[in-house]
Amino acid sequence: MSNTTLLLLTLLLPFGTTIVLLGVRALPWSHENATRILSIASPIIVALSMVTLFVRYDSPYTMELFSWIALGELFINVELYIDALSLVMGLFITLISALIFIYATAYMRHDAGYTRFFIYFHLFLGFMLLLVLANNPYMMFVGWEGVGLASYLLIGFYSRDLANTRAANKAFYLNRIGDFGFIIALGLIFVQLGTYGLDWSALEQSMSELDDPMLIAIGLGLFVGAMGKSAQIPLYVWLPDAMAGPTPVSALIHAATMVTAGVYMVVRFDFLYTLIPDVGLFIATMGALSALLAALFATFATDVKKILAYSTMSQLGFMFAAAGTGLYDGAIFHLFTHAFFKALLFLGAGAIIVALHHEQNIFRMGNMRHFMPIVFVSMFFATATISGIPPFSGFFSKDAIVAHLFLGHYYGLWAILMSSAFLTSYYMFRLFFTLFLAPSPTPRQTILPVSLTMQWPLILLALGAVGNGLWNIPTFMGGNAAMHTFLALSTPVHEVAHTTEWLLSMGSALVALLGMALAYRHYAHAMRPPKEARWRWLIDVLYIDHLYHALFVRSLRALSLWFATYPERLLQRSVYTLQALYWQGAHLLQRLQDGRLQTYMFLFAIGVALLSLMLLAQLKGWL
Amino acid sequence: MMDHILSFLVFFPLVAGILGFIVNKDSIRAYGLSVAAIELFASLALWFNFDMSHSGIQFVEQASIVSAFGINYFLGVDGISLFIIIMTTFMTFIALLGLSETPRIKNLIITVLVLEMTMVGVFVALDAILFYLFWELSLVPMLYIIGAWGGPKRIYASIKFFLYTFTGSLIMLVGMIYIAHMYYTLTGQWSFSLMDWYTMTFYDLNVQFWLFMAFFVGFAIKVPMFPFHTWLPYAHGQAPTIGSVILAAVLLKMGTYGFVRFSLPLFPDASVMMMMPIAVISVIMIIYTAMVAYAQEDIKQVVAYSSVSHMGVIVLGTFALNVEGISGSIFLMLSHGIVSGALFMLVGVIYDRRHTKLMSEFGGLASVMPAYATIFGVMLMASVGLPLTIGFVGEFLSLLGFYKVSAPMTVFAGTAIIVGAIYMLSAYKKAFFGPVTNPENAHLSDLNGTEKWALIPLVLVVAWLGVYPKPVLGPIDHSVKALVQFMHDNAVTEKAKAIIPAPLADANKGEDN
Repeated sequence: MSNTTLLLLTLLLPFGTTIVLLGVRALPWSHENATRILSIASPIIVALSMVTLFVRYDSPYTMELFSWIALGELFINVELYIDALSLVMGLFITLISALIFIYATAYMRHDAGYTRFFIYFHLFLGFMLLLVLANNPYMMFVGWEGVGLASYLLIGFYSRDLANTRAANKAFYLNRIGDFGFIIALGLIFVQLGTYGLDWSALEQSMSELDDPMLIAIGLGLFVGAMGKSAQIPLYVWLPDAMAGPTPVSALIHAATMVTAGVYMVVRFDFLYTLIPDVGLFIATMGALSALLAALFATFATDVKKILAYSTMSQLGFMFAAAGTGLYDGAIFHLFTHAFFKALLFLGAGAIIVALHHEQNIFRMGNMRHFMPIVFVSMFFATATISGIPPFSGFFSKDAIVAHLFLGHYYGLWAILMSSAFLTSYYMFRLFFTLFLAPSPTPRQTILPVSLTMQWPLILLALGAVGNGLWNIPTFMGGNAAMHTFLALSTPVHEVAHTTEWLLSMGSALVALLGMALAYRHYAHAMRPPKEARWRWLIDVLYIDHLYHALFVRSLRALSLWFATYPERLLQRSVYTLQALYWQGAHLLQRLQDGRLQTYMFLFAIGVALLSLMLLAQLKGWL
Repeated sequence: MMDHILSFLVFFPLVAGILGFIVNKDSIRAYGLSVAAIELFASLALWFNFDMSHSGIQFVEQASIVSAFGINYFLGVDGISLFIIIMTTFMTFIALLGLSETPRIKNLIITVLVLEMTMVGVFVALDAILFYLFWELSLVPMLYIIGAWGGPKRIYASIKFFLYTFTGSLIMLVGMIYIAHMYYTLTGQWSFSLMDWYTMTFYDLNVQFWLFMAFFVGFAIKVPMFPFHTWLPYAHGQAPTIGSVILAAVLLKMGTYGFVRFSLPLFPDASVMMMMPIAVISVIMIIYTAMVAYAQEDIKQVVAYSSVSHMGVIVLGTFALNVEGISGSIFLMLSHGIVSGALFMLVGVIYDRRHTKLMSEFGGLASVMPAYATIFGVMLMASVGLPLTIGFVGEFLSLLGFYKVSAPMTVFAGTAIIVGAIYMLSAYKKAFFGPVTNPENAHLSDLNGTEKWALIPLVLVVAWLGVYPKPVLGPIDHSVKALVQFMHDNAVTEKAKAIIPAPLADANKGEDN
């Protein structure tokens, strides 16, 4: 098949499957099997065609489908674009999604909403691919919003529990705030650059014609969007709550789709952000702060999915720190490795949660290595990878970012990220040791067996997580930095001695190992939940949720009630008043018509007199 | 047939409505539906025979009524009115299809058919008096629908509705007579023909301004613009479902259509002068009514206020005075008609079952009525303007159009994107999610056959025009370009010429190069 056919297939198959599943769902008989077959086959085909596209790739190309809006000066085409960046994104999105889909077919088994779940799941994948493959920011926005919709549907999947709906709404609202920033930037881009064309290559050409304030406005608007989707300070609060959805949803949101969108957007607009390094620095700072804050929260969280959620936010912070300081391919490399190990962590956690009858508190688990050896081994690799223990992939991707910050003289950011890296290793191994090594506090109840369909994706992901760093081993370590070459993004080059680079890498490794060792000492032998009294403020994540609630939710509610009570009532009443005045006047006039002949005659006489007077005045010229 | 298609479109519902009196009560529903279906097909035939390459008026019919005063029977359609007419016939058909009222159904259906005649009449009339005639006539059937089939305070609501809009249109009538008289002083002939009026230029800016204001009052009350909007939620609160559907879908569009048909081309300088004040009112209206919507406990009031909020976006887009804004606002009129019409129908579905509209009475409906919840969800997403639904295209284009005029103002208006999502999703949450707390809701039946037949076409249109709006946007774009060019040429002051772009001149220049 030609490239364009494959590309079309990749994009349309998820949407097509959604529609087919809608039909399947309407069938009167049980549709779990049909759904399962479709939901395994379709993502695998998508992944395979993406791999084929990747293998065949030699230079960027576009594919125009149809013209979406052609109006006045606005021309938006539905057009796809393949370059190294969209290929790398598409590659891990489809590969990991396929594994998560397979896992989910077993995880969701016998769920009453089985088909509905996969309808949303396919929709999610489809919109994510649209986002990544779009050839202009407007189509990207369509995918962007679609991803938001799918995540809303999936987070609130178990809608009988209002807490889930609340989490879903929260995610949607915060993403809308982000989208608002995005759409402002889209408006500016159209008004300023619309006449030059709106696809990536045209924008890349024309962007430099704008003056700085305009560039900064566009750059900030886009980044607000990225903050929303990629859960950065201050729009991150939806992410920890988003675990309300079934665990495969979390895996999909955190690894392959959704949160990666923000990073992708910043890298896609690299031609914009290189023009405005100040905004870049702002992005990097927000990223670094998010990384540290989330790591702190994760260190005191007790819910396994919450820990993983905060770790996502933290890792995304690393990526923004990289992208903001110009290391675009470093951000993408970390995004790539992160996708594998984060998916693995969530799927592993999901297996444990199911086995323990939906227990999520890690301090009520313990000793799981005996019961789930495959999960144990794969989770070990994932934990070591995210912690940056050499020689697993996370080490290479994280070290590249941290070393770049040091060599680029961003020492503040470097220090923040080193601390975050230390904390990452600490809290991840805290999670790992508590889950697998520490003695179980309660006598173990029956453990549900984990099906093979759920274990295979774990093994494959573990292989990927461990090995995918090989794709981009830095040159000073004797690798060929193949991904760096493939992406060919503009990247700062630091001319330094190999010894410095080695020293920096050893520093990163040391910090990771230190975190691991400390975690081992504290958590490998006993259950040690955080001391509530002392750490309340961190367990409650600095009361930021409460603060937001008071600041935004309550004030909006109060304001809207005020509007509805006072001005709106006033407006309504003013109409009543007009009406009442009218009635009053009518009543007054009514008195004249009292039905008595004398009154009528009297009025008639007055009228005649007045008219005569006027006539007289006219004739005599008095007026 | 195509020569008199517009007359057919106007008078067929009237004639059929009158003939409806002799139809048996049991078959009146089928009769009404067939009439509405024929009308719908006739309007679709209009679309298929419409010359897409031509931006001016088509299917013109002209006959003199009162020649001494230049009052003509003058009908015509261009890309601007074409789809509003189709939307009118479509929504009337759908509203009749989903009709659930049973008392005095014969009268109701006949009234709706007469109403359809007046609505179509407003959108095809190109003579001011004819326009005014249909405009005022449309009040009568709606007054009757609210007053006879409405809620407990229906009489008050219908009178408020009538007086409010009637007052506004009287002022408009004065403006029309003034213009006709001006035409008389200029040419020695009376004329109420819009095409004749277009040939005039109002050099006296003061006159232009006051005429603009006279029309503005009439249109603004109809839209309804802040602060004249209070009649609408009240009328919706009392109106039966079919009344609300037609009111929201079609009647409000008369106001915004009036802006495009009368205010902009006749008074380009006054439009430029009033651009910012009107934009400020629109932005206040968008945000204010969105906030008020969030405070409502009654789901129909939420939909009513959100509908007003979106009308604000339409006005904002119209007064961007550029192709993107005006085309966007016309598209938004269509999508608003379909989406808010659908939402009112959906509210009607649950009202029929529970006889309450308070959200606190519901909860957990998603598990009891899944199909209903799904369609409600689709319409909700269209209402909050999610891409690939019909709601996005119009809203996006309207805002984009005004972005060219003033970015800060548009950003303000855009905050409604956030508030809109908040009130809609929180209403959805209250009514549809969570456990079923009220035992009365536990055994509600899901959508029945007729309801599905009425709602599914709406869902299809929402998806189709969201994904592929081009067939509709094309003709609109064409006519709006001509309109904006006309405004540019017709403007008196240099300032107005500078603000109103000249899209056709640009295009020609592009071809020359």
